[in-house]
Amino acid sequence: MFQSEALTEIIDTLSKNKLRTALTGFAVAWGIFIFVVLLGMGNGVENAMEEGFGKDAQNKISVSGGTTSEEYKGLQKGRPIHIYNEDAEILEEYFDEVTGYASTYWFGTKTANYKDKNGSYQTNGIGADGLEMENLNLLQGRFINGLDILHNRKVVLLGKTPYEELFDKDEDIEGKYLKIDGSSFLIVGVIEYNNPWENGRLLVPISTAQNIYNSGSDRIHNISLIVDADLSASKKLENKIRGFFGRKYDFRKDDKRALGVQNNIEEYGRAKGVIIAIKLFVMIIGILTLISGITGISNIMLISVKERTKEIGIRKALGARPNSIIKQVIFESVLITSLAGYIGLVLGAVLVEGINYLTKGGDSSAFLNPTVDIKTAIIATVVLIVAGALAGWLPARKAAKIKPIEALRYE
Amino acid sequence: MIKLHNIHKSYHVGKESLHVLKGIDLHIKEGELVSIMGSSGSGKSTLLNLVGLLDNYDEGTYHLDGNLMKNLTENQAAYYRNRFLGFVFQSFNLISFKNAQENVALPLYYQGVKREERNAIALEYLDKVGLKPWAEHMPNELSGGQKQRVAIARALASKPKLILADEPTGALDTTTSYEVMELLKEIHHEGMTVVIVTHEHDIAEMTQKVIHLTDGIIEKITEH
Ligand SMILES: Nc1ncnc2c1ncn2[C@@H]1O[C@H](COP(=O)(O)OP(=O)(O)OP(=O)(O)O)[C@@H](O)[C@H]1O
Ligand SMILES: [Mg+2]
Repeated sequence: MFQSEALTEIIDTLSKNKLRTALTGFAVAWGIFIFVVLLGMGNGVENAMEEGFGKDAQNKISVSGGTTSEEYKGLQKGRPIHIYNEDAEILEEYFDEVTGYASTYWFGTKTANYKDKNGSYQTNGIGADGLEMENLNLLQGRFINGLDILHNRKVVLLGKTPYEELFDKDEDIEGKYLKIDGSSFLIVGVIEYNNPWENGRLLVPISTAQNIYNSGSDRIHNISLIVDADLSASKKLENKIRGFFGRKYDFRKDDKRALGVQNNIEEYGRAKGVIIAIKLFVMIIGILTLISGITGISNIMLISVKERTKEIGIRKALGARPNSIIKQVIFESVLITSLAGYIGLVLGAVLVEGINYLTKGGDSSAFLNPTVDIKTAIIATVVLIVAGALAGWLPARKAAKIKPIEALRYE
Repeated sequence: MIKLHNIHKSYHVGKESLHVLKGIDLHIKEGELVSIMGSSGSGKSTLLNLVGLLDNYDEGTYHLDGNLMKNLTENQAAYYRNRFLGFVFQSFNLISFKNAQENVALPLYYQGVKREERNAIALEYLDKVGLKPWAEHMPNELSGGQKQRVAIARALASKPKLILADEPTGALDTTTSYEVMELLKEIHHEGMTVVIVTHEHDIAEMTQKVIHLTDGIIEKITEH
């Protein structure tokens, strides 16, 4: 029969049985609401984790000196292990997996002043390729380069915070000098880190810093290695690095406290696992909620079919074919499910977007952009229609099997 | 129009079997106005229901307008109910959430008639039963007599060959009953075959032929 005729007949029936329609709809709307909110939250957690790692390069292994916790070859425990400029160079040459490095020396907090303004900032000596390695955003000027380091140039790269505190808004740093502990450094650029708390830094060439503050020693605090390796290769590399430093500075390779090694590849992998687990969990809960929603519709549809036994009997007596009854019940189910589900979808999206709006700007680390993406919406829509058809199937079959005479007798 | 030969029908409730129709032979010709009389439990409704294809029979043959009604599929039964038969029930059986006009239009929906056309036809038949001004009223806003007239309009709207009425006046007072009977007689005068089940003598008196049913068999047929 004509589809639109069938549709008007169904809409007619539904709109004249408002309470039943509303009750059925509510079950579905609720199911989809929960489904969407959970999926949105899952996305939020994932985004937050991704973002947390995005702030720090994911293919990075950083190495820093520590303190021995075991005796070794007659040497006392509690001995500090220092690392030096050359170590970074050796690591890059020695291990194929290492494709680049950056070394840092932390000089602690220094007083900086520009004109009449001043402030105290963490000051780091930094290797040339270190800046490209991290996810930095250059706001003005340039990075510190190899020549700066080679010639011990007195140049400084400002973090966003000192720039904002010492300079006027949008002031050009070109050719301007910053005094750090009384000596003048040419400002070459302004950078923004992705981690807001890192923005309060001043960066100077590592050689310059070592000359001025460390009386020529080439000691460094930290080496960041850019590594081209998968999880297991990175773990092996980590082990080899420990071995290398252990031989060089006389400590046991397994003495974890002698050398600090942070393997971002491994941590990222672990976090990824957690994300997958969370997503899976959310999916399962979402699906269970949906299933209970479907069972809900199915049950209500069954009751409604039973309640309408007489109506169905009358329709059959007037010449309704079993197919048209099946079609009617399934269409009803799909229609209620789709409409109510859509309402649930929209409400869920509104809630998720609301949370997104509220958590935006804050440093909330648990959620970031908990969005309902188009994929989720499409999945939910398909799930809705299938769910509606599924939920309607059993009641429809039951309705079609009703014998008109029994239906008419039914009170 | 209706030809029944040696029709048997039993109901099975649990292990027990109740033999209700015990060999019915009956011939109702086109254009006849017939009533079926009998005491309660004699099998009147059972007979009418199987003539109306609402139920099936166990044994015998039933021809409707020359077609053998046996082992019909649900779809075939639906077709005959829709095109050949119009029902009027004691309890009206209007769909409560549809107004008078929509109720009358429903069989036309199952014939595939478009909405506008079937609404127009429905209104025409409501007019015929004198209820045009009530077209928009819901069944619960109508009196018993009015409901039954809507039901008659609904039975007529699909232009059936046969009207089957099971105690159409059973729920009505005498005056209203007579009005409904007048309507059925008028329909009959226009050429329709009408079968009425009743246990009221005065109602049966108004038909041309009375079939007396006793305990599942036709005892006698009287003609007026
Ligand atoms: N679905 C059924 N299952 C079992 N028994 C039934 C069923 N329908 C009718 N009967 C029995 O069959 C017999 C005939 O019933 P039927 O309804 O045909 O009687 P009737 O002549 O219409 O009576 P009434 O005047 O009371 O309406 C009765 O004894 C009734 O109890
Ligand atoms: Mg009866």
